[in-house]
Amino acid sequence: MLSYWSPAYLLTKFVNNFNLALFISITCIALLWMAYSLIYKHFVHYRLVMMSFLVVLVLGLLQFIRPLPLFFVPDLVIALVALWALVMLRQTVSPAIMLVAGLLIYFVCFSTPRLDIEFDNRYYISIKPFLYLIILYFSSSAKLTLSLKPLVYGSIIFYPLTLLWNVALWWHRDGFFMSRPNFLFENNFEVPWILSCFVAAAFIYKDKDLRLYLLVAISVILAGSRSGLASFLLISVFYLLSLSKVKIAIASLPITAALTYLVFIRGSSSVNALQWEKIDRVQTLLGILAFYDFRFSEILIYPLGVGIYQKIPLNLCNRMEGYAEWFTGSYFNCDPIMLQSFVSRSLFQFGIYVLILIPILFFWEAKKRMGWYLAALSIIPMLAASFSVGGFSNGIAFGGFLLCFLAYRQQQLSSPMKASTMSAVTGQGASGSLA
Amino acid sequence: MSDQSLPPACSPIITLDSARSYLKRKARYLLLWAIAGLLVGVGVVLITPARYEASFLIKMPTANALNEFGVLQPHLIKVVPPAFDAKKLLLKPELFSNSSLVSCGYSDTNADRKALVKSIYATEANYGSSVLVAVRIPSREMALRCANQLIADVIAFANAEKNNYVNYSLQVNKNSNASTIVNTDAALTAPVRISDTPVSPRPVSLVIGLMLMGLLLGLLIDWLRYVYAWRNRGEEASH
Repeated sequence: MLSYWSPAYLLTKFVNNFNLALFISITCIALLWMAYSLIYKHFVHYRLVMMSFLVVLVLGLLQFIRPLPLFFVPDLVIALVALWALVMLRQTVSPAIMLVAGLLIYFVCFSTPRLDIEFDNRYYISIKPFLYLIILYFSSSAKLTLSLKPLVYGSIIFYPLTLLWNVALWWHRDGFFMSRPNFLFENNFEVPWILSCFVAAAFIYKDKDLRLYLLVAISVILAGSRSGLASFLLISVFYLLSLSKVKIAIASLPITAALTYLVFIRGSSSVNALQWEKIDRVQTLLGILAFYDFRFSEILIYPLGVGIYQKIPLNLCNRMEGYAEWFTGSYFNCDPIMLQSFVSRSLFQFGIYVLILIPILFFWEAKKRMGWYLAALSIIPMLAASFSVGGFSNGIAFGGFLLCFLAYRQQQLSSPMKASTMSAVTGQGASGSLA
Repeated sequence: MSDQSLPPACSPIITLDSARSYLKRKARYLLLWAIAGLLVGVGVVLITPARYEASFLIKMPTANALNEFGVLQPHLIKVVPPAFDAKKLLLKPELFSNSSLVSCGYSDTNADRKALVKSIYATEANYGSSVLVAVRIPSREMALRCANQLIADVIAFANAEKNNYVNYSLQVNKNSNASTIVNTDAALTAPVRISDTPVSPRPVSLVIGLMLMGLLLGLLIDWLRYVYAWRNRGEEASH
């Protein structure tokens, strides 16, 4: 019996899965080379970087061995940032905060009472978009003293390596290639954060280094997230348009690779337009549309949805067998959270008007602070994720969005000339640093 | 949010100190709005009749299925009528019997029939083999009476449909007889459950909600006044 991790054992596995092992080896070498050169370029304290990387790998290992309930961590970090921003408040606050507060109060206090015999819903997740908007209104122009660049570059550099680490752990323990690896949460949750980091690096810090783009492309390819791929492709359009012709040609390779990989790994359901209705998120959306009898006039009958306390209709719940148990722990608890995507859930709970209003409010605040170009880019990861997972109610996606604001403000203030121009335009005092 | 003592040219930047001093200055004004909202909430709670909820689950009748040629399938059992049809019985105003209306405290008017539909929640359960019903009525006793009458109506409707189906099946399948085919009646799966306390209105949520809405309205009105005063001052200055 060969021991795990012994060269002979690994060599045997390599030969037995030659194509896969070759693909992973090439990816691994490319990643390590790019990571090394980028660390060399952007960081000064290499020992600290290596220590951080080891910590990240250990975290990934612990999460793999014994999954920990870490879903509260992004919200905890956001809450701490919000608290800090409130204490150090010095910015204009949009009057739209009153509309959002009104909607929050309405949905919490005036939603139709739930059935007395039913389980409680996870109400907190439903109201998160409103809480995030309120947080955004008083932290969108906050200035952090601590530079965000290490976080931005560190996330982009380390994330694909953690995915490879996860693939290696699965391969080693269970002997198969994990096509949807993750770091601590879930691939659909993590990719928006990485894309936000990329937006910050490429468009806010204006660092058009192709290695960053390739690392993000490899992350998206490895993670196998469909919504992540969609937002990556959208951001790529903006990115490509900002490059020279030679760089465009080089950057087109990972896009092609990402699409090809997805076709092979995720099968027909990912990109086959003829079988799009087999995708679970599409099924839930169709189910909710069936609730409205596929008629727009029926949707308008519920201008503010059915509220946050109602279960999804049982016939729809029954149709999606196993999802209720997966998301709520009970086979019979048809909490709207089981619909997965923000779009389906909000259409049911908040109605069509609020569903449309929420992204507009996020975008509007971003446009006010960063202009429409950066606003559009920053919102893409969160918007794409809202068709797949929480999106506007997802802490990691919102964390990425908030990161863009904070990075922009930091960048704006680091350039005195631009800061004075901006303060003349927006009325924001650059001298009012929160540091 | 707003500060009416600020000159028009002053920066609109808000700090925690400015928010705190604003709240301190306007505390009485905002408190009045909050109290007004709270009083409205108390009023709404007082005038809204309390509603209790009765809920029950009825298992639909079953019988042998027929194939496309009308031949009885001894090994295939189907739900007749499906829970979807039974649900429709409870969600169409014109289908309520007079006794249902009376038991639920309504009279035979169009408005009351619609009101009864609005107080009923009905949906399919267990893959269409059962129908889950909840009805919200002003008193516990009446809720139980209403639920019992609705149960009787649904069971009578479902059994009649099933009996028609079974009779037809036997007529077109002369070789089969009633003793050998599946023929189960609709039945209540568990006793009717009635909420111990009213499910609606929710006094705490309502009072807190309206108090917060009052506060928010106060802030909004003050902010609108501030914007109006600011613009007026700007226009006066330009003249």
